[in-house]
Amino acid sequence: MPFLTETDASYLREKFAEILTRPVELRLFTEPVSGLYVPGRPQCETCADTEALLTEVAELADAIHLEVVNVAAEPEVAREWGVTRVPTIAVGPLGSDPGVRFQGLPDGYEFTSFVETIATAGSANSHGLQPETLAALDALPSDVEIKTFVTPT
Amino acid sequence: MALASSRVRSTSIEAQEFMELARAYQVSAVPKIVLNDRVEFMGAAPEAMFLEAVQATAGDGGDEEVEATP
Repeated sequence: MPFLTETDASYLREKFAEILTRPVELRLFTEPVSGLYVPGRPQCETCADTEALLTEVAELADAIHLEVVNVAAEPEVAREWGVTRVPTIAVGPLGSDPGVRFQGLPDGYEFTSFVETIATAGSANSHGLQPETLAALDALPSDVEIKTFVTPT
Repeated sequence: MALASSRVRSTSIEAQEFMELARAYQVSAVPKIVLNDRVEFMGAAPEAMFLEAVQATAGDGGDEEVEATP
């Protein structure tokens, strides 16, 4: 079952065509859900849905590239990207990692943030931040990690 | 901010899917924002206020002090 209605899909297709001026990479860290239940090891409940949703999103624009990483098969890639849980999506301009992650299925309200992040990653200087903010960020003396807890509703 | 600055990283966490994380960070309402695992506030802040919080977090010493927080 598709996540996006045809109305949403055509709206997004138009918006992405207008906004995206450089390629964006969605790197999904996931694990295949097997039919085998291992006690004490919870299965990833949203991995399959997340992959299905991202596949639909990637079909909306040629500029959106989807890369799927199976963390069970490639644990070293997950480590390199700092991924400890699945599903996790890294979003950024193709070929670079600005450190943006979404943990969990980005549906509901979170889908809006997700789409905006894709739009920002795919367009130079469109993050909407004030010039003073950018200057201040450039001057930060050390790194800052932001965690934002959200729910779909 | 994370897209605009190499100093800033951002993770959005679905609290219902990752309940153990939500519990660990005592998330009782969303959105809840946590900076470097020690500065926290609720809700979306205006850009200038958010920047102040980021600057304060980056400015007060870095990792040594993080270890000292409970």
